[in-house]
Amino acid sequence: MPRVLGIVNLHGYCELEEVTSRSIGATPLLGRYSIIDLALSNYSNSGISNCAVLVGKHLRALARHLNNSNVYTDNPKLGSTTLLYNEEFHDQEIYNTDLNNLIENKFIFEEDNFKYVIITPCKYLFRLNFNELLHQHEKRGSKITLVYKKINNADKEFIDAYTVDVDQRTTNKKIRAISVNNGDKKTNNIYLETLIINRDVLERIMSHADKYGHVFNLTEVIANHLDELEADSFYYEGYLKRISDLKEYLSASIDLLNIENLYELTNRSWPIYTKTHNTPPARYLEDADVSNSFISNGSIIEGKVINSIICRNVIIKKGAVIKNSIVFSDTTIHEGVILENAIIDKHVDVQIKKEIIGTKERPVYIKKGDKI
Amino acid sequence: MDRKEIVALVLAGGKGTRLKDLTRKNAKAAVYFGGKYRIIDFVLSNIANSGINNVGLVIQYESVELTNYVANGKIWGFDGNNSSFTILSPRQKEDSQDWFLGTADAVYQNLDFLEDLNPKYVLILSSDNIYKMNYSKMLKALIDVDGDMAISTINVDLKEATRFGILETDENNVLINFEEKPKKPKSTKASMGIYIFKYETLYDALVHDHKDKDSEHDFGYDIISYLLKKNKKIISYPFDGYWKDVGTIDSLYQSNMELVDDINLLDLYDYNDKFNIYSEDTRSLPSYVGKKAVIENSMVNQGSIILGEVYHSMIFGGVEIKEGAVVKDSIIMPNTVIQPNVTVKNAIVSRNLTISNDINNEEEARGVSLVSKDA
Repeated sequence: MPRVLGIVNLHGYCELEEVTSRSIGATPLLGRYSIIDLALSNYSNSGISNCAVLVGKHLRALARHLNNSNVYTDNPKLGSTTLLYNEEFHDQEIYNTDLNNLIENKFIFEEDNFKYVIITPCKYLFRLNFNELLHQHEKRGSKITLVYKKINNADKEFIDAYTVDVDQRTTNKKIRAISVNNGDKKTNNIYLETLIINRDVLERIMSHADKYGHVFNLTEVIANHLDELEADSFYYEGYLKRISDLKEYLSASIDLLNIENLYELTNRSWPIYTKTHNTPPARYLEDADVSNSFISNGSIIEGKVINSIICRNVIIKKGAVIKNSIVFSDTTIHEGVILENAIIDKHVDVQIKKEIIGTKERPVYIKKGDKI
Repeated sequence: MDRKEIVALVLAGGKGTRLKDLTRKNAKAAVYFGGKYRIIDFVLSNIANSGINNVGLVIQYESVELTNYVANGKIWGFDGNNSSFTILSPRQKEDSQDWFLGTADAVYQNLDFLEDLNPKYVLILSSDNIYKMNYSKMLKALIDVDGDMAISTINVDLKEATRFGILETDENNVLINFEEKPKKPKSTKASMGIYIFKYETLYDALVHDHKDKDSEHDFGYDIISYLLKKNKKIISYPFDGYWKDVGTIDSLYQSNMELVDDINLLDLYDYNDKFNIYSEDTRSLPSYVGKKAVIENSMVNQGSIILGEVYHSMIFGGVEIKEGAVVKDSIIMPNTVIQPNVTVKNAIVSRNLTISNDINNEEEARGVSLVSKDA
């Protein structure tokens, strides 16, 4: 297999990040993972063990999650996960693009002889064996191939997502245009912001970036040069959810409580790899009443938990009722507290405030460390 | 470089016959415990948390799974700087090729391993007890009195004392007499099988013991008696905390249930406690609890799918309790499936099984049932 560099691209505006002040990559998923684990595991399970993470902002939690050990590789001597950060422009939004980050960190191109680069974001939850993408890309002799999925609810979901217009007439389904879903039609092709690109093509884009004044992101540059790039398309048919804000984060998490949906993303032959925290098994006391939920290790459950996700070391006391919510690690929900459509961050104590009730459209978020 | 302070030698060669089918193809040290752990996780975590970085693991019986599990000691952090984790199995030598004939012989045959490390002290302990202990405190107690050997002791009931090695000590905790399984115990101070020796003391005792044709080559009795005779300074180090020998089906069951009953046992849920028990990560999803599931008074590990009812039980990782199934007062080991509408009571069910028929051991006099085949 030719060498491939797998990039996880965390650039781009993400409302969830603004609200939680945490990188989407470091945001908990299903209780015990971080969202970036999904992307890195897709790479790992596809046999791609050299990865780089383009970090836009909120480096801290991500660095903590990824430091110490590489759990995504079969051989830690051969595999690596490198954090790439644009130090010069990290605090200037307009210049803090994925493209600029790559240019700043082009040493990564000098240190390895990979032939292709695959780029994928964290904001889309999906499972793809990248060998399928690679295989099609190589077979067709393409320069760049973008991954998309056709959806039938574009009027309700994936609003503002990048979309692609695919020329269905040609044998190689070329991309004619990249635009944005404004919800005006039911059917649309969502661009997963996932692509495979020949190394030399990417390097050329990077070296010509001066022309664009360093203020455009990779997708925008590709969009403006589709013909020249002869951009190809890859049709993805699997499970797809977007996580761009609190609402989507909560609804995607709850959607994954359905085990059939979950198995679309991960199963025994496609595991999600993550750092271990050595927590003991979850403990259910006498009054525990749990239904349709994920409960992570280290948690002590004494109350009622319905349709929710409980992260590590969470304490749910007697009489508390957690419904359609996500509780991050090391948080305690005290007696008699009611949570509904709520996302409670880490190290929070909910005690005095007895009701935290949001809606599906507008979940309530309690930030890290709050004692209420 | 300064001489290394202390190294640990863990004796994990035993078969554990009394664990029956659980140890038919598996060393006792690798048997599951506590919903997530293997028995040996406790001792190896204790050693790491005590700041001891060099470990020799003595193995003998059915050691493949155990060796695979411990690998290079990375799980407990023994792959760091100035650390080592060495597996010591019986080996061919230039002039002999013997199995280990007893605990003392096992250590004697590995004296060259100790010689290489040349530590000041050697910590010798078995691998089949459940407890948390900081051995550096025991070492300090020994160094403070410039003793030759320390034996960790625990107070047992007088009627239990007949099962243990019993120590009689003076007011300074110095050993006066030692009796193995005495019919009339002179004290209730029982040996926990945890010893710290001055290396030279150990060396002498082992060489002497090896030559003694009448010796049973057992640490407890032979070595301690010899050292007493030679007027070596042996102290008892009293331990106060939960400590359980889980060498029988009943005691394994009891200990697991004690953990289910008492959240504070072993401080597993004390998040500020830095004395963590490390174990292998199985990369599982978190536990999923279904719409009709009921879980009360139980411990459930990640990767499990609970669709039925679980009462007062210990559920290991990857276990599936299907809809309508009822598990009560039981221990279900990893990846076992309890089929729909099946009831399991008062049992230890081994791993990787599919249980399609009720297991209902109502007669408590018979003790807990061990299920080790599909049923």
